[in-house]
Amino acid sequence: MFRFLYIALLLTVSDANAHPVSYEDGAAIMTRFSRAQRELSLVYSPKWWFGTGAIIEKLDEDRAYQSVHLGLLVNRWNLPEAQGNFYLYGGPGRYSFDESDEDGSFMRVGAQADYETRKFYIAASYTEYRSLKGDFTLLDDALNFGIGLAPYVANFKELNAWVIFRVRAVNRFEDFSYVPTLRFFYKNFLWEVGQSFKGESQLNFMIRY
Amino acid sequence: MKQLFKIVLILLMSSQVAFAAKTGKTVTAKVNGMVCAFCSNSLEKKFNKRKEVESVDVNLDTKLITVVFKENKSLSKKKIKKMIKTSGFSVVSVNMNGLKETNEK
Repeated sequence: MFRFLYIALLLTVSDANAHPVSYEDGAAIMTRFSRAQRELSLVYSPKWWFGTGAIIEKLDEDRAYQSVHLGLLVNRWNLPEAQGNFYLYGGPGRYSFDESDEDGSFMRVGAQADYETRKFYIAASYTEYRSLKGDFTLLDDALNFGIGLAPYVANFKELNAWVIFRVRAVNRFEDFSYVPTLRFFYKNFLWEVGQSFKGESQLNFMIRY
Repeated sequence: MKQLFKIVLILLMSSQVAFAAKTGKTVTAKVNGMVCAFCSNSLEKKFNKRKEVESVDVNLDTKLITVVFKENKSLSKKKIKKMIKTSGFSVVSVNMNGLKETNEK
């Protein structure tokens, strides 16, 4: 019960820049590196409400996923000083686990929500990785939550900076990591540097066209 | 002398009109939902693709988009609204600044 309330709370409010959908005719390439987890994604949006692409992820050293990405902006709330978004995303793919020498087809499904102003953002996403064999066994899941503040307000052609506190939970909410992160972006380039409370470094990079 | 003054005045006025025409007409639109720098880039990209547009400026502070058209070119209010909406934002108002609307689609 607590788990569902927790997810519901987080999903009412996502990562402001790692949207499952880019802007119309826009493309985004994103990488995420930490000691055990890696991700490379490419998303192109033919429409402002729909994005498609591919994602390669390694949730830990043994668990690798490659999948098609389909992202749908279900609703956007445009306010005078803020924007809120709710997305659904997913796609079929292949997984391989080194440790158990297991592989097969899977489906990635998730939801993401965000609320952002020019100085504040709060975002959450929840993703499940389910086997397409038989009973759709849950292979992995990942909850991401981020809250960020901008120390100053900047425009597109200026250096933008954010201080972000990020929480990531994997392995059915048993393994939490807390990562204070600094985010910078300048024009089409975004980069983040973070270090978890366990001392693990994380580096994210994104280019948007 | 009075005649000469009139001629000079007419010449000055006509040169002003000619200058105004060369700089193009300007339209401003107030938009809701513009909160991030990437938002402004998406709108600039969309308007800059149009051959009628000389330049576009998106101001995140005022939430205003200012579109400067090429000489004798423009877009209709309907088209401008549609371009903003299909970028994912909401239009509050469009001020054509006296610009006569065209029938282009």
